[in-house]
Amino acid sequence: MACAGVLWSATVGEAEASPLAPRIACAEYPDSPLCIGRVWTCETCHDSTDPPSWNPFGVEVMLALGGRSMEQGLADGLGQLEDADSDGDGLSNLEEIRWGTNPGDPTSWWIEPATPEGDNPYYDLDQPDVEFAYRRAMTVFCGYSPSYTPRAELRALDDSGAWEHLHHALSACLDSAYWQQVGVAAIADPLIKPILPVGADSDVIIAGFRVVLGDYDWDYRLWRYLMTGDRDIRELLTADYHVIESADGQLERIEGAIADPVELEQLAGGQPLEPEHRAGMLTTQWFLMSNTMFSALPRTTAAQAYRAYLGMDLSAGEGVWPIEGEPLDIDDKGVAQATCAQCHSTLDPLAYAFSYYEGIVIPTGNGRYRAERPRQLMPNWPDQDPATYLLGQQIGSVVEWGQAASQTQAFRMNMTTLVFEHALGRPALPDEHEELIELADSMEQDGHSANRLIHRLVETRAFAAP
Amino acid sequence: MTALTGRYAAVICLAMAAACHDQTEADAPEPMSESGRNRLVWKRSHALEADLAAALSLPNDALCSELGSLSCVREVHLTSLGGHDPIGQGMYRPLAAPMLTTSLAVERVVTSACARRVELDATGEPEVFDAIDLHADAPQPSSDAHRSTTQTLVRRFLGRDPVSAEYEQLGALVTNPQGTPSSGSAYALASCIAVGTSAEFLFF
Repeated sequence: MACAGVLWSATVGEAEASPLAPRIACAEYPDSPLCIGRVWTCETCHDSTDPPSWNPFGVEVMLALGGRSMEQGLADGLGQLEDADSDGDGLSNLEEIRWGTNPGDPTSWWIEPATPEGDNPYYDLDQPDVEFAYRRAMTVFCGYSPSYTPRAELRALDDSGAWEHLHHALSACLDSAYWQQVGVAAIADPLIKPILPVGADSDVIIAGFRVVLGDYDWDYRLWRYLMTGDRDIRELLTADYHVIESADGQLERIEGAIADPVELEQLAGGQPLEPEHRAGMLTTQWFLMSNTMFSALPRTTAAQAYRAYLGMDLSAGEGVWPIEGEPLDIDDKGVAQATCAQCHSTLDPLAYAFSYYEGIVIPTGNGRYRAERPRQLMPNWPDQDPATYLLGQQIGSVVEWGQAASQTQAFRMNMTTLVFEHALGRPALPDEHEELIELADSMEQDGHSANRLIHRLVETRAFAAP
Repeated sequence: MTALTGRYAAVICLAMAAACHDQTEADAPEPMSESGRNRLVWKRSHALEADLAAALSLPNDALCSELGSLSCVREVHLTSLGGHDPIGQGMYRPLAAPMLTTSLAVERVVTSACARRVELDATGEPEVFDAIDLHADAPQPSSDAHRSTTQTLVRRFLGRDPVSAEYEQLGALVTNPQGTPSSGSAYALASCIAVGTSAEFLFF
């Protein structure tokens, strides 16, 4: 797997794995958008990490190191390069780090939009405009645009009254069937990744059994429940309960283990995992089944948890946070090779705790917890369990994994980003990063409520300024 | 940022210019300050369907369908119109931006809906085109019937009153491309399509 921070050693041309660079860089620039809730990615310096090649910024960093190690010289080397424009796009490296663009990529740059000159009789350009925001809020969160009459009513109000009216209408949208059943569920699609032929509605029959390997509707219900109703979204990673839906669409908690249905001639589809081993979305039967499958060491499961809920995709060189002495190559896959170790020194210790959870078990048992599973499947599993690490923090179980992850800035940034991108259909632009970070930070004072996050979002320049 | 796209550059000025806070029939806007932000949002399948149905007082199921059974918006052109289908197609994210076929799909859906509305209004109690005789010639551009029709369409699709330029532009549709008078139904259909495919209706 490709990985960040591959280092030219003192001898130019000799590649050496040193994936420490992202963290060192972010220690120097903690306020950079490249570092808020994440660390620099591989592509900041690399065109490729296997075989290693460097972009113009990466080359200059290597030269500035002057033979020193990353630990010894990177901070100083980056400082030397702040005023330079390594990629020749017209912005200094420091400006790019501050904007969150890539100082090594000439196609990654930013210039602020031109300030409007003169008057516009219809809109407050470049600043939040309540009617513009109203139309957007209704369209995104209610699923339809406001018609003539409500827009006319809004226009008749003063600015303060109009914003109050907007928030009242937005609250109704967030309580609507559209948002609670369709809109908010759509955000979860790439996180849950449903697969019809092995879900609860599967019509694939083998040996008289329907090939239901899990039921992703449990995942969607838990997501919808926690992303609405002013609930604490940290429970996405900590919930030890599940959620059912009544015929009228009401979502309700259900406690305890839920056996796999057998009367429907299916193999799975319940939530049989004991509550003490649950970590919300990370331990649903569907999540464990569809990611772990038959893996002894569930790297894919850990990587998807990292990607979906902390916003860092290791396969894209994001979130590299190596642990000393790793990877152990505990399942004898050859991941200790230098090229692989660049990322597996982060990924493998991220995944050990997931080894106790089954993926697919024939004929039944998907997603169950089994204490002896790692040793049965991995002969090299040591007597003393290998330590699991998340962002450098040692943790003892998947339950702790979820608890720790839910408290991180990465989680807050990721959840904010998911909502932001759903609303605007694109990532935040460099001049919107500050607002994005403020939104993420506001979650702590707002009880980690997605609803309150959305109410703040619609007043930002990013959302409301034409 | 990477590769700033100018995809919406052409439409943003139109949308900004046409969208109006003023409830009066404003004059054609003088040269005015334009937004440099270029950040309009694409109205995707669900909202497009809902807004189109509401604007023309049609049930969703009365909008375009393929072979009379497959919804153009929810099935046939779902991807082009910015929707996605995680379960049926394993498509977990919608397209980031409109594709080449998006404009074709939009035109098909809007044209179909407008034609349906004209047909219903021509054969029954009119709900949208109630100011003109759909079986006669199109109204004169200076007529109250034209002004009323324009106002109705702009209010229904765009949620505001028309500006004077829009009365003039839609007034050009009372004749066909050959310069001869259009029928009332042809004028109604063309006006409906013009407003329903405007940038202001399709982006927000």
